[in-house]
Amino acid sequence: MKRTAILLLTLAACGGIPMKPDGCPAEFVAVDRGPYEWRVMSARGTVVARREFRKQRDETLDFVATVTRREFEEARGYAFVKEEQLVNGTAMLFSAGDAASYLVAVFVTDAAIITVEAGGPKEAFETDEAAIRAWIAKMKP
Amino acid sequence: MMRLGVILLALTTAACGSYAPSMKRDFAPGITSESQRRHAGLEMPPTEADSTRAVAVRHTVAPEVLLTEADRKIIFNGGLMLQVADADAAEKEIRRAAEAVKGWIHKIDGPTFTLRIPAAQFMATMETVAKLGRVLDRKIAGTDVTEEYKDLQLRLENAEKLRTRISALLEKTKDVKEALEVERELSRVTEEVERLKGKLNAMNDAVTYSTVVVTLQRSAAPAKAAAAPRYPFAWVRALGLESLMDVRER
Repeated sequence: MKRTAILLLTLAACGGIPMKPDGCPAEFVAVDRGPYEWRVMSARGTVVARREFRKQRDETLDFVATVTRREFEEARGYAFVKEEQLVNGTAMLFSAGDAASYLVAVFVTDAAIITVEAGGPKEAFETDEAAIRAWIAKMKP
Repeated sequence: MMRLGVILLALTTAACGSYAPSMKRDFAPGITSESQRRHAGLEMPPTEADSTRAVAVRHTVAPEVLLTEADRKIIFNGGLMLQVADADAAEKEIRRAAEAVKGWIHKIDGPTFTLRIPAAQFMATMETVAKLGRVLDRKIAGTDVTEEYKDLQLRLENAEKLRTRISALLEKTKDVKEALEVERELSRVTEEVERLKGKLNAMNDAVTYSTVVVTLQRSAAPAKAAAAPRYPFAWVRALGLESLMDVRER
């Protein structure tokens, strides 16, 4: 029993079994991490993932949030919907046409830029949005 | 008969004589009550008694508190013209913003939405809605109707008293002609009471719920890629739905 637990933990640590992050809403399950630290998905198809980048310049939160908003609005054609201030972070909601919604929260620490992305089909996302926002609001960078 | 006419005339004159002159003050856009004018740093000529209080208000009282000053009756109206990329998403957010403060969308006319918002949440809602797009135009106006409100209340009280007195007079009439004359007067005063009640209710409603008119303007198509910024940062290039949604089976 103990050996099985150790084996499972080892596999999880090696990326064999995806693990749900702390505070993850019950309706999400962990899925393939891909390039992310973790990635979870709801039955409706909404995906949430976290990524951390080592800070190479002295970017401030305002800088990172502005770059993110301009990148999506101007370079990628997403429609900005709204912005929300978080503790050490900013969350921005975009609409990708009629099909999809995309929310990105950026956090900045002394050493890292952390991004938490959430997206999915528009209707599915709207159903999951409140739970995702509540979860992101509690995240500590 | 002559005596009755004189009595009716005297009653009516007495009721009318106590009317206060109606007074209505309009403030410039963005300015509401005099105290808010001070709060915004736009000085009115200060009265001696108010000068100390005005300074305290400016530093310690939140705008919401000023909006609900119990002793003042202020009608707030706001207007926002927003440029948005996704009008449907903006409409949903406008509805959410109104409902979050127990307000509602009163009317939709094409891209124009008329919201009714509890007065205490007026400024907060204006700010929330303004964040949904690029603000092309913003108007805020407060009309102080305190004097007009008090005047209406007084006129209503007087009209009701007059109605009671005329009713009492009706019982004392001695012939049909007199009774008809008094009844005609009673009917006129009753109509006046109802009219004043209606006006007072409408004014109460306008004071309790502010009106915010939001007009959405769809922004032009997304900027062409050539004119868009190209950021040399790995973290921003890694963002986006394509990578996020690309979940593989393991």
